[in-house]
Amino acid sequence: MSGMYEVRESGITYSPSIQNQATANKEEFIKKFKTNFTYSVLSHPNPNELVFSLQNVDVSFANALRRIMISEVPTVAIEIVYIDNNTSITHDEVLSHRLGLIPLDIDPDEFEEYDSRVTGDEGTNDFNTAVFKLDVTCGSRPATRSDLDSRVLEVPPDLEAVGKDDNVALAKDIAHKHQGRGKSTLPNRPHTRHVYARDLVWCPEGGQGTRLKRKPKVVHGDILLTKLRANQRITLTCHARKSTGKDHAKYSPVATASYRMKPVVGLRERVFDEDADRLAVLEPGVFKIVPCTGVAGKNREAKVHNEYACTMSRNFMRDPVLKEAVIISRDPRHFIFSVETVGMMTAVEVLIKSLQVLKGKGEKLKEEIQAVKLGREMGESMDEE
Amino acid sequence: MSVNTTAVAPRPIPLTILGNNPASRTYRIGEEDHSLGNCLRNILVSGMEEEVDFAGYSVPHPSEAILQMRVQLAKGAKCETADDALMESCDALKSMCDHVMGTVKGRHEHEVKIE
Amino acid sequence: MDNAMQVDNTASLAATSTAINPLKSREKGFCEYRCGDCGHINSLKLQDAIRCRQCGFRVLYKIRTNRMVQFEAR
Repeated sequence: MSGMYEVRESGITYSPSIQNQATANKEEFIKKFKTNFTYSVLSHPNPNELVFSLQNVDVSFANALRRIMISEVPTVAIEIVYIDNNTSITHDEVLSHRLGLIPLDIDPDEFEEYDSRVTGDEGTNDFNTAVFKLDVTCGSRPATRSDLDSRVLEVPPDLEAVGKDDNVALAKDIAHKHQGRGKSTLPNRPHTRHVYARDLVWCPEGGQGTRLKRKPKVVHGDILLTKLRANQRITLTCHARKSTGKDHAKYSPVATASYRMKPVVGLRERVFDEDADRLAVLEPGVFKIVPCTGVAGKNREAKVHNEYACTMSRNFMRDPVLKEAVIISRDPRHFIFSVETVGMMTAVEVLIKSLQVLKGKGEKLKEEIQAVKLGREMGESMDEE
Repeated sequence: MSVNTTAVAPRPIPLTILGNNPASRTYRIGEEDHSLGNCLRNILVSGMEEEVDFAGYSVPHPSEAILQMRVQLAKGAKCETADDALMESCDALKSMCDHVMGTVKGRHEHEVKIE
Repeated sequence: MDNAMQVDNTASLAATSTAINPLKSREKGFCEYRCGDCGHINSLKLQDAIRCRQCGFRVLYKIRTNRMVQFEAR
């Protein structure tokens, strides 16, 4: 243990450990790390959500991973919007902003980063740009029954992306809207057309049709972009580029990634009967009531059952008896991460990529130092000559 | 937000090493921040105790993407210069990342498609 | 990289409902306006009375340009 953070009523106090945890040199440090490090998965309900714990790492490493997951794992998102026509109620720049925020299901490894120092559009090619087109128009009258019947049961292919399969009523409803009939079926309401993210169409450029293994599309097709009234039209082309969250938050692959230090719950004194009941209510999930024998007059006591459930609410500190009996603290070498991704990468992929990025930072720095060293040595040897 | 124009990324800042004493150097590293700085500082301080007397990092101003690191070697260190010590800490960071990556990939064998 | 193809970013789709009077609007000095009441497209030039030719309404709106506009999605 490298010290403990004891959680008090107001604030946290740190008490350093007596032992010296430091190692002498790089080899020992790496050896110690490999022996003690642990990775365990606490919850992984679907590929996009992962709760895992890292043990025996330093907070700097955990924080670096968190920062990199949020802002330095590259993804592809719409960057430039070329608007040919927009007669909708949404202003051009607002519509462009919304388009930028749409998550795109594109494998960033199949694209190169766009170097904006290359002037104008000469730098745009099929290796660094994905092109999406949006061309929607609202008809001048609602679709009639006969218009619909011929097309209504044709379920749009991206319904798989939405995740519904057998829900026929929902499929009909979506197909309904897809054909241009607006939400309102009330009389005197104007005919509207809702524009969704699924209306964006990927246009393969150059060799992309064959080169890309994962065909670009939007992650969630049911994001509402704007609404059109009769005879309004939107025609635009989008260029999607690869970049990182540092550049703009739209490129962040995670809904968020966060960590907390593992709570450590201890009982200074044993807690019995009514006190135990109260404790179990004040800190739900952390304690369980077990029958107690051997102590006169007491028939049940509270035992620590699941420290992970502790929310640090400090509710038990309002009770004078429990305040003295229970002590909570944080383990500064045990981190519980919660990663939820937007959908273009799985949570495990984001974790692995962030480790690759961190490793790349170390490599890059080492190369830079060697280059400066070499430059200095060459300069010195030239001076000697 | 601009119409009919696109932004150009700023030029990258090269690495500069300040200090004449090979055992005590300050490094100004461009395009880096606390993610790398704190990690390396921790490795130098807690991992290479016998090599390094002093190690620290700072980000002089958040609007500039510059990381400053200072490394001072201890007497009797195996590393010859502070540069070597910093490079060793980079190696240690890389080993840590490799180890964690291997563990994660092993645990999620069936999911992971990345090489 | 050598095989990279330029991505076409110029407008490839013609303007639709806006160019009702293509001949007249290409003559110098004419500008197209939409009536606020009936929606009829009027071609006016300098010194013309500001009235809709179809219904006589006096509020006319300028029609969106055909030029392509580029935005950063930020």
